[in-house]
Amino acid sequence: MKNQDYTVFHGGVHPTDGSDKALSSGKPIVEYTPKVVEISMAQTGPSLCELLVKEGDHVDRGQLIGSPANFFAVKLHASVSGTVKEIKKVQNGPKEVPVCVIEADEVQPPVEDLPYRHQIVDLSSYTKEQLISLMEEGGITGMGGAGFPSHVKYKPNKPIEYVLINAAECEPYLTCDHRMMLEHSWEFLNGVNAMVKAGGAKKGYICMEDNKQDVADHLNSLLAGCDVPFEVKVLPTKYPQGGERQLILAVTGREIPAGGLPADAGCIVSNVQSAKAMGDMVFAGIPSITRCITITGLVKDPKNFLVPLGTPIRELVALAGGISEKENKVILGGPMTGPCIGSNMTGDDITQCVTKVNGGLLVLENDHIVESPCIRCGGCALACPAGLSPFKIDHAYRAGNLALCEALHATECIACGCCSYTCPAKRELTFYNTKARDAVKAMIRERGKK
Amino acid sequence: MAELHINPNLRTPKTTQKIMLDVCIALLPALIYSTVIFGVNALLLTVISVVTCMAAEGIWQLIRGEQLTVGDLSAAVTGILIAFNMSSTTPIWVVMIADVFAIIVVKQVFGGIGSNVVNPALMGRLFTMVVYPGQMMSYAAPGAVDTVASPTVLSAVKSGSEVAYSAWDMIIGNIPGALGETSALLLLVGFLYLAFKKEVNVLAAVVYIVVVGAVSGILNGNFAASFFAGGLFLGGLFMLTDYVFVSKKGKVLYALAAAVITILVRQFSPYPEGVCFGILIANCLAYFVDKIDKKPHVYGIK
Repeated sequence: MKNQDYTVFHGGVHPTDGSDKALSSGKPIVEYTPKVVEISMAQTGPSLCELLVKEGDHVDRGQLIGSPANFFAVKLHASVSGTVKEIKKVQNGPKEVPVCVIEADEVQPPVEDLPYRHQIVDLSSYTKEQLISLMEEGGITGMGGAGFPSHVKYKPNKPIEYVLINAAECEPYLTCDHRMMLEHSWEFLNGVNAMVKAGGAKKGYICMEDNKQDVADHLNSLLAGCDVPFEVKVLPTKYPQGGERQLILAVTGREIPAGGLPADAGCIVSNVQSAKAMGDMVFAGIPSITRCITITGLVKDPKNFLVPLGTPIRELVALAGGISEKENKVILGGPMTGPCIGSNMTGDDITQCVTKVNGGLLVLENDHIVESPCIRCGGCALACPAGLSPFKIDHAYRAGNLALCEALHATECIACGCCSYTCPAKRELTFYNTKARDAVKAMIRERGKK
Repeated sequence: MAELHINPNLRTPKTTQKIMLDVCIALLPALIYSTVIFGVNALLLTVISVVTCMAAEGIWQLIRGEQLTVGDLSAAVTGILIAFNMSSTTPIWVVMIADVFAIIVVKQVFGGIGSNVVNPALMGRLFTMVVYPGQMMSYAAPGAVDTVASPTVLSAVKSGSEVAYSAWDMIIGNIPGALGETSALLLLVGFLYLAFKKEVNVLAAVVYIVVVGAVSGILNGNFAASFFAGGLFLGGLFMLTDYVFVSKKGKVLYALAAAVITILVRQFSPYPEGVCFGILIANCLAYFVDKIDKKPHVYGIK
């Protein structure tokens, strides 16, 4: 037996056999710049930026166009050089959000070839504080999906021991992080180096599932002989290995206490593409204006793209050959946690544009899930990485018993989807467990007020 | 464009129907063997029992306007198990009464699949055993063309008379008994199929069978009969395992509760066999076993 240097978290599922990732994991990143980009001032649901430019303005690539208007937002920069053609108002949940439409210039300024693209660059001239302020200037955010501002995350009031780079990419189908680490390795590694220093950590780990052994081998060969405070850690392929809580447990053997943050376990967790953006910002002064996105599933030719923020996703779908199945459902992100944006769509129906947190667009066969009675097989409890009994919480919530939901620790649900995935009766366990979680949290807040 | 799907957008191909179909497949070898040794009547009873159970469930749900769940095949499993608990000579109408009682009173009244407290097949069998003891307590011997009742091996052991069958007869099922219970070997083959598909509770089944077989063997001196004659394998492998507990301790406690009752009935009651009572009472205790069971660790909770 191999010496195991990680902790195995409870539960989890194996939603696919790897053939899903194989659709695009071998496809080199295609760089693409659209004629028009549409940059939303709300890059994630709760975040909002104030728009700093107006129609007719000329903007340079990397110029600040949005300044944070709330806690969840980070600075936003023009992703292309061009002219602001229009300020659209787009409905985003309950609020109207300005979207900056920029027509790209015919000729974009070239990207300089700097040493950080070829080797580890010395960081001794930077202080921790300088690096964090570069993070803020560069609009670095959690690019794995949550979009939490990095400069806030890197200023916890607790001592940090480890910076974990979440390279698990445990969502089936997605391969953008995989390709990014293979093809932009040095930018990524320099970014990781900067993040470990920014966190004030004694050690960093690049944590990936063992379905990316090629990346691990490649990065290890690059790092051979380099004196860096971080290393590659290979973990078993099991969803949700890349869940923040599960990742910390796997690497450090520690749990984040209920209601706590990674810093309570002495950790900061950052995404691969955030680290790459950090490298670009620190060593080339390029803020977070691009990202890699996987277009996959039922498209003719699945691909990975490196695109400016605001690229209309329908153009990428067209470049991937278009949607190949009429009876489809279209998902923004990975299949386990990404929201479905519609069914039976054509590529042109997709109105979304790339944001900092879009890891992919996935087309799956349409299906019609009908709930049937729970057969009490207990499969969901065995699959729950939080150690909950989702069927009990589901039952209690539907019966309106929030006190029982609380006693069953519904607050600790991480909405990973393992329970619904595994349920033979096709019950919408994740849906009702997250509802129960939110309701119990609201109830606890109310109680606190009294 | 209209329909939005709920996360996650990937779901396991496993369904309730597939699990139940696998149980039916697992029971097939025993059914075929039963038809060979008890004649075509065994097959006929089983088919009628399955049809009656499915019809009872469907009609009940149609009348009540409930979601139709006949397609999940759980009623078919109940139908097979009820037939398996009957002698091949049982009148068809007795089997049908057991079916209707099991599906309507034991299963649907309590809310249908997943909500019933006790195993419907066993309760259906118990009901007819109490109401029609004359029809229920006589068993056909293998190969017998007439309907002369033969004492089962366990009742022979209990009354102290000589057992006319070898241990091998008991293992392969060449003995008198209910039509599906006699072949321990073929039931085990079916169970291994389910175990391979990870659809059964192996730990509980093993604990139950080993404890009941070993302890009754010590008490009555006939280990072969205690293990392989009677309903221990059918009950332990296919009927005890309805309820799953998250912890191993819970599974063991539950199996032990069933085992203790089974042994007590075998030893101290007028009945030669106690599997039915053991499992039904353990079913009733399931709630309490769950209460005292160690709860799984919740991430982040000390």
